[in-house]
Amino acid sequence: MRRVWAILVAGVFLYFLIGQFLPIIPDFGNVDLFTRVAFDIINKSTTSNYNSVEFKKSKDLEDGSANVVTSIVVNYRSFDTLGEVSVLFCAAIGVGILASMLKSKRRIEFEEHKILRTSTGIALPLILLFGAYIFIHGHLSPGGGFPGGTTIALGVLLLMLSNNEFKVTDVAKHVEQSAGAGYVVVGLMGMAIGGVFLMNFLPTGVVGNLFSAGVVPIVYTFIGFKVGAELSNVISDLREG
Amino acid sequence: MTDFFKSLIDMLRDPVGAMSILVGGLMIVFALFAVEAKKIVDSLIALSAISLLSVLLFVVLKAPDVAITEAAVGSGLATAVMIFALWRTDANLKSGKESDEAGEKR
Repeated sequence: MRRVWAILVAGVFLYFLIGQFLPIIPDFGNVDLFTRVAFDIINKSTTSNYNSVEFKKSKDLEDGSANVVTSIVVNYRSFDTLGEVSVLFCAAIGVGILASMLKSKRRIEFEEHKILRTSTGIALPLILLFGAYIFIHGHLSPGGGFPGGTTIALGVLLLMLSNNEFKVTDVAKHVEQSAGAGYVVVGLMGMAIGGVFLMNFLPTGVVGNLFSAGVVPIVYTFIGFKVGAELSNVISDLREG
Repeated sequence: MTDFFKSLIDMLRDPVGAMSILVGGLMIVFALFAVEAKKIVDSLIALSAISLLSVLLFVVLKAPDVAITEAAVGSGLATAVMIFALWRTDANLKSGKESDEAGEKR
């Protein structure tokens, strides 16, 4: 009976979604949302009227990151990102406490696979490099600190699956602490120089260059290290007894 | 009801819409499997597959940021964390010989 009700509710929902709602909204790709939203934000300026921005040519913009999402996440709404980082920190603490409360102290062991172990040696540097690329180029291409850090943590997970002797040492904790403190220090430096917490106090440079967008690459590097170390710690907390 | 079929056929006509419907249907199938599966590990793997398929939808909808995050977090790390947690708690529930056998090698 419950299943019949579930199917009925899903059917009514799908009928209204496809039959009533989808015909109203315009076709995908024909809205030109890109020019309506993205270009206006790339020409961004909250202080004065805006001029058109050219890739690799315009310099000294209000915020020089080519990636719109990054410019909002780490520049205009950087305080939110600090909150997100602390939420992730609280989640890691919760996982650590829960894992330490479990009764079984036996650590999870895997069977040794020669193929997996050998191929890990080849794939692991590439995975770590890709993670670092994602968070260093966060202001130019899609990505940022959180996906990059997660990719690094996935590399650590691969190392764990392939190698039983591998353990995440205290280095991860120290990296996480110092990276989290570094983010706050960048914010305080902005406060000292510009008068606003987490202000973008460095010159923004030319749009599209690696060294542009002021503090955004620095902050994303800190976030990448912090998230990578934190999530490695979460996995190792769950694995170790 | 005619609107319903008309819009459905319109969506099926262009390749991107057909792919979206295929991927969405697969996601629904995996979701049902995750609910109905007997073993929890199967449910977790089905959830991972849902995340992996939603990455395709995010790419189609031009949200590469979300796609990268979903691929790394949703289908990689979250599944690993949940499976590790499942194994750790499973070893608690079982007792005697089974626990020893389950805890030794995976």
